[in-house]
Amino acid sequence: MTNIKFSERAYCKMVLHAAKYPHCSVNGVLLAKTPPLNNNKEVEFVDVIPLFHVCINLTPMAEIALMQIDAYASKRGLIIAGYYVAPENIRDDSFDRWYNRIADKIAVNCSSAYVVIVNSTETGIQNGRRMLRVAQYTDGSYRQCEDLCISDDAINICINGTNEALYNKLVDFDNHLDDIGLDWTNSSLNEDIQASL
Amino acid sequence: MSSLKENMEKLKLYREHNIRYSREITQVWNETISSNIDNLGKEKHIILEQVCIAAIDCYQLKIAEKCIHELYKEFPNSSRIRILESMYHEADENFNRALQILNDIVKKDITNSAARKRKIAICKALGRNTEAIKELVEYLKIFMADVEAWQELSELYISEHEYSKAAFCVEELILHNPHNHLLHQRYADIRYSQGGMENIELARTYYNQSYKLNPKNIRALYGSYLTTTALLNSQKVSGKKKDAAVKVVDWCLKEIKKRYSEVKVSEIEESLSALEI
Amino acid sequence: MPATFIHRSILTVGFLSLFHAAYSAAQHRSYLRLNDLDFTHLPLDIFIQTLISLFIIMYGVLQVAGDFKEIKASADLEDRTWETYRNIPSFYTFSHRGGKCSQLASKSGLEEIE
Repeated sequence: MTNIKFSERAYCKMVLHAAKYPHCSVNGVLLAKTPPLNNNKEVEFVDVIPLFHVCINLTPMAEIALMQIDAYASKRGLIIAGYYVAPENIRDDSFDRWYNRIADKIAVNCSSAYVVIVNSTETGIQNGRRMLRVAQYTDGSYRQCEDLCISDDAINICINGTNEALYNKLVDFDNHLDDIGLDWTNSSLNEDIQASL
Repeated sequence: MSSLKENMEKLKLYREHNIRYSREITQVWNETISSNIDNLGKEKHIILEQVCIAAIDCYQLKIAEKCIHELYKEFPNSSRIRILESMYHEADENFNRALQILNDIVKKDITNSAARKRKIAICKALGRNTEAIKELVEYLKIFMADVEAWQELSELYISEHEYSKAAFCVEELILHNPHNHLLHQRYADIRYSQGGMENIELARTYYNQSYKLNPKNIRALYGSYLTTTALLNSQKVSGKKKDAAVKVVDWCLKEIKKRYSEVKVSEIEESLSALEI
Repeated sequence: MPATFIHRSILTVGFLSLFHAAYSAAQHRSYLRLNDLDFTHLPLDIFIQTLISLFIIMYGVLQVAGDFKEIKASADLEDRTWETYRNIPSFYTFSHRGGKCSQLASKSGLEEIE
């Protein structure tokens, strides 16, 4: 069984993205340090790039985003290894329902992709729950992973972050396309998260 | 602490721009509006309705209850407030009660489109998207000019990956609103997602039209770049067309770079180099 | 730009001056009639006053009337984004991450995770 670790930065950005648009489906990609081969025992997601909230099932802008993210990641020795989605309707949390071509594409690049469903409800965040479901996606089938490693720090940052409306600082790719002055790498938010560790 | 007048301006701005800032609206309510309901003047009822919907959206049912109560005092027989009440029950997951109210309204007044739309929204909330689509199609047979409903239907189709049907809905929207660059861009997005050379060709035309309508739309610019590159990489293109396509790609890249150099975000700018393949 | 007091007074002055010119012209006609003279043309000073007050009024109206709209039909839409355009209150659903069912759903989700 693979052990999956989320860094504080990755976890917080994912949850904050879902918290910023509680009524929308949102998605994004996960960046991992090492190429997660099948036999690897551990995967660590160090960062995420929030992508869309307006319409997550259309591909053209996703292609543009992935091209740029790929360049950004490879410069930092990272690789796109996973895909996360937070469904609009909290009941829709099966993996098949949120099948997306992005997940397919990632699986082609690194043998298997991790799909994360973020079900971070507002009350859930307040109570400090971990609200992720992770599955490994290979050849069109999903295998749920149980061993998640999320630090308490990450969860605490999320609790404070929603209280202080930190999510307003988060920029996803849709925001960036509406106003290209906004930085989708979220460097200032990253610093904030780092500072509160 | 901001003054009542400022807060009223804020709410008006949200209404005019049609943004779903429910959290902010309830916050404004808690700050000043709640203690000044009688000082709102002409805007009192519209603000109460706005706050009510926002409160329902944030699951602050106490606030919603108060708003509905205030509104009922003024208009005891209004169906618009009955609908708010049904939304209240919806947020409380009491869907049967909500549906009962809506059915009553429709029975009394078969032309009440708002109640019918809420019924469709309930289907969606329950996760029955296919049923919602069916109902919405029935609805559109009666209220053909309802732009909102076409818009919603297209979004539902997209979420079900039924791109050609979604495209049809957007075509309908373009007929209603031919100068809207967003619709042209969305149509192109859908056609591109569908795939296939013919669709990409079509997408390219619509991206260009969208860009022409609004040169600020960077999505349209990226779209033109993407579709033209796809065209360039396909085998069928003849020499002359290819030369023109190369020129378009170069121009798009130049234009995109120019936009980015105006805003100066260095980390993003370096990622742009990924586009030049 | 909102109309200021100065612009309003410029407009008033323009109208007053125009009325004065019109009144002077009428006076001139009655003077001609009384002296049995034929009307050939307006005196130069009245003519110039009319023209000047016309321009003053034109300027005043432009300032008072408010901002111009673009001729292009799509100009109003330029600053709209999908963010607001797709927001349709009549189709709001509340079974999202901020609503009630979230609490129930996450409770069952909790058992699954831990």
